[in-house]
Amino acid sequence: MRNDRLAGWLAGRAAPQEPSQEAKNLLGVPDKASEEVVLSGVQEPGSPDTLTFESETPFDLRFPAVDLLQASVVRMLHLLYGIGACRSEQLRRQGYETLADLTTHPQWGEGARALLGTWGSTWDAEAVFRTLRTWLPASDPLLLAALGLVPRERILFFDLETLGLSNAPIFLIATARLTDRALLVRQDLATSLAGERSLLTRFGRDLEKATALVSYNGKAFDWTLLRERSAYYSQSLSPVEIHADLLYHVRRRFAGLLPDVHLGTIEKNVLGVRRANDLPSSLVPSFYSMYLETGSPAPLRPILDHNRQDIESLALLLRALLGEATDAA
Amino acid sequence: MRLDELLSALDRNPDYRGQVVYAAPVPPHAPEYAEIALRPRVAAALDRRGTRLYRHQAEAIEALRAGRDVVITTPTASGKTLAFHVPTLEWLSDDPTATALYLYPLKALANDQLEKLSTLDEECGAHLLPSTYDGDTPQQKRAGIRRSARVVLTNPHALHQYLPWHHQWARLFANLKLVVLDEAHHYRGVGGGNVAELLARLSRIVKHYGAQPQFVVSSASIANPKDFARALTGRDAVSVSKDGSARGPRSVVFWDPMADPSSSITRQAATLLSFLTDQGMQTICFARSRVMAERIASTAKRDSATDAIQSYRAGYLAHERRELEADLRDGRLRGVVSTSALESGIDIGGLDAAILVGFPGSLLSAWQQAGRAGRGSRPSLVIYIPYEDPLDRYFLRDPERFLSYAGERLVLPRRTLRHRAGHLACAAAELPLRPEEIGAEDGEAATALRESGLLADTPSGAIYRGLRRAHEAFPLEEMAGETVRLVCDGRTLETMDPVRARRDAFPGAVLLHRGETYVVRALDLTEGVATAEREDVDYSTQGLRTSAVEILSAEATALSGASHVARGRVCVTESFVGYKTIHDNRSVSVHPLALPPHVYQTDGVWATFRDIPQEIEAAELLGALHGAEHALISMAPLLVLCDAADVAGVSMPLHPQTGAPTILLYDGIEDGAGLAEVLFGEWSRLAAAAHAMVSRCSCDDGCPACLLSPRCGSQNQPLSKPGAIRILALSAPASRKEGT
Repeated sequence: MRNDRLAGWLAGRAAPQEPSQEAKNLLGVPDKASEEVVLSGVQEPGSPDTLTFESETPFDLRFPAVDLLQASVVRMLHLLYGIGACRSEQLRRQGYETLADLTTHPQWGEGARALLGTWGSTWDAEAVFRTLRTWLPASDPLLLAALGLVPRERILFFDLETLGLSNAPIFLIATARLTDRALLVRQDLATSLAGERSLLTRFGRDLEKATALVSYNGKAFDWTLLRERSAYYSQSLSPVEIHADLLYHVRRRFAGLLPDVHLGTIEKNVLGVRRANDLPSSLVPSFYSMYLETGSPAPLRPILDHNRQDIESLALLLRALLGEATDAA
Repeated sequence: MRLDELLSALDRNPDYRGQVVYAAPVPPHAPEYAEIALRPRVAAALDRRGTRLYRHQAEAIEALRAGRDVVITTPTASGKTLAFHVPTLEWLSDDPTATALYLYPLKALANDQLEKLSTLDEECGAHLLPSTYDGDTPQQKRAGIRRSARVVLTNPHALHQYLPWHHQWARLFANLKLVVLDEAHHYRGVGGGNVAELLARLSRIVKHYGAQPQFVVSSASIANPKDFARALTGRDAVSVSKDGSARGPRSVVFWDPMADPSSSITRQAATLLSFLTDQGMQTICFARSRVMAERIASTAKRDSATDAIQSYRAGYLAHERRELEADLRDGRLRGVVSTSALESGIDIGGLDAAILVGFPGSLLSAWQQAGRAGRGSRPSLVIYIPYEDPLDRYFLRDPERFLSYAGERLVLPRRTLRHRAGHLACAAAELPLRPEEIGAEDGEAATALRESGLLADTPSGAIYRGLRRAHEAFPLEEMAGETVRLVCDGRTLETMDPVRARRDAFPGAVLLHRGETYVVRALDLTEGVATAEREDVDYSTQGLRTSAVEILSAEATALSGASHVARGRVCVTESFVGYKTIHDNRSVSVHPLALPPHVYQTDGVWATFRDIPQEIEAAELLGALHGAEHALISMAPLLVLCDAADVAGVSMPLHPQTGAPTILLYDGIEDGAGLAEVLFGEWSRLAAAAHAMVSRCSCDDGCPACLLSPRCGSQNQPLSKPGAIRILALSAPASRKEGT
């Protein structure tokens, strides 16, 4: 096969398409690097191919009171292996209202003691989650309320931008953490494809300081991809026991009420967020490709804005859903 | 039944017209056992089954124990599988974390083997937890299999899809002790080249996880086991090919259907089938298509005293097939007519007789089919009924060629740029490609990938950065150049390269797929779709090809007799000008076709004749060369495993580039499939066989059994039989006896 025929054969499988002029105009992205666009990122020592952007937004997030949560969890007798709805009812009629009551039961006492033992007197968040996750659907509001057991600085929000649909390189990882009064957002951007590895290493270090993850469709997409890309570079990600994927909760709460469950739809209808001149997600890969090709940082600005709004919305969404979870608890 | 008894019974049969032209007893051979020490539990399990190891099995086991790779090519039913099951059982029970990977060309074969391996596993208590894993594996079982199965049975297409998820298979890969390629003779030609690339990718990943597995290649008998194994795995293997299993006396009967012109081949096959079943012999009959299989089965059922005759086909539901297979093993079913679906792999036990209706295209297949008859040391019978086709009928005149089968050569093509580019992209998507992993011969492909933006260089190596998943952007079949899909009711039946699509899937073509007949309604070469409908028809079609060939470069030359032979790169301009419909071996009608000519590069081999003997007059020369070309093409499958239609040719009294009378054969597939290279190396044998075939044919001036080709685009005009014999004699060295 001659080389030009090979090129033709490869063309159909190639990297992202050039974005349309219309899209570029809309976002005010110049064709050439004529206009000076300066990105105010920080270069981390030892990672020449990444830039880091940090921002802080006032943000107030309250979890349901722990004692309320505990009161409702201990009443769930079916968290014990072997107890279903019928038997719960039966035990309740016999006066066993809570798991604590059950510890004296001749048959279930041993199991109840063992279960409460794994939770410990201070209710270890991971152990409680393991139990809840086994017996409750992934979209149960209690699973969100139980995030209140985790120290708030150990909750990590995350969102990715990638160069394609699946198994494509990751070039931007946004993480966010809670302080008492604010949301701290950090965006790690790869300034070349070589930066992906550093992004993953850095994210791996973030995980060590996290007990719980919060994402939107992150179980199916982001986390899977992070694991896959880390394996690609022979790195491993330590698994995090608690992962609240808000998509599950949104589906349970809003399916049928909204036309779809895209984050944009939720922002407009539930969170009241309006985005001005937002870059559509579908154009993110081609804008990044344009940056790689031209070297001009102009296309990166809309990507960073888009991504920062995504992660801020994620935090807002958790707050909205928690409002309902509090009622449930 | 003994051969002489059978022959005298036939003689007494009023329908018999003396069709038996040759009946050869093949002597039995006693089993050769070997005693080797086995792990107690494995030894006990084999003892309980009453199984003793044959010498070839022991040889393979010991070579594997010594750390070598093995290629095993003993005949059907000689117990090849046990030779690699035993090491698997032993190694995996010695080390409870050890794993093995078995690759099968078809899902059905993997399923069949899973049952056998599971039984053996239970008997030995080795806890292999064997499981198939492919497109049919239910979603909810997948994670469990990845977590715990210690022997995974899958196929190349599935493996291609799973390799990028290697981290999910880290346990299997890190502990891999053995990779088995069973039924490996399926991996030939361009598809085989793909499997070789895939195995190289597998090896790279396995190495990444720190394992060093050994490879077993198990195949039907072939002529070049070591070369084939090396081409496939890139590693040297010990060859185990001498059969030590028990073989009862076998009779091979060559049946000439032309001796009774009043009766069709189908009819004669049905008569034989009912005759043999009535004699109490459990018989399998192989037919080319399902329609024919059903016709033979229904006729035989009507004629026979027994009702227990059935047809078998790949299209049956799994449980229907299982029932038929069980009935065959138990002997409840006395006669079965099958397409090649029952040729190998599936366990149906040994039968008493096999009838081969038509040469199945290769001696490899013919002996796989013949091998269905015979069980241990019991006598067996094989009856071969040829069609009126040069190679088919050649064996009637030279039965020894059939009987002394040593295997065709299995070849893999040279890697094309497309192969390299596609597999390189996939490898880069699996793990970053380090500079030293991009070989010198991959440089051009790597450059093309970088230029099209699919590969990007980083300090970790070259990484894949396509928009789509590499393994979806580069499906295996497209890397083999199979860009045309054959579609029926919205379902893709198979994929083919554009050359074969023009040849076999033109509008009006009758195509066989797993024994079923389909009629092609439209062929859209731009979209790469041939649309077909399922239809039972009793005719076949044959595209008529004309071609012009330009020689681009000569890469090697040699002398063969008084001719010069060369091989090299050629550029072919090929047209399918029309097609023939063929019914009962007779051409019924010719239809024109309006397909644009196709220009492509491939490999060619050509012979030039500088000294034409005076007996060939100038006016006869073209007919002589043309006839010789047809004869050479029809004999090509004797030497290299291929379909005669995969080799095409042209002949010219004066080729403008060689300046001499020339016959040129080429691989009828874009970029070549490695056939011309073998034909170049074997040219003298090819010419001698063609010479023998033509000169032994009793016709006067060429017939369908020697020179007439159903594929000839110039209506078999002109042809000269005496001229062709002389030309072939020029190319066949005088010392060879085959020519006389």
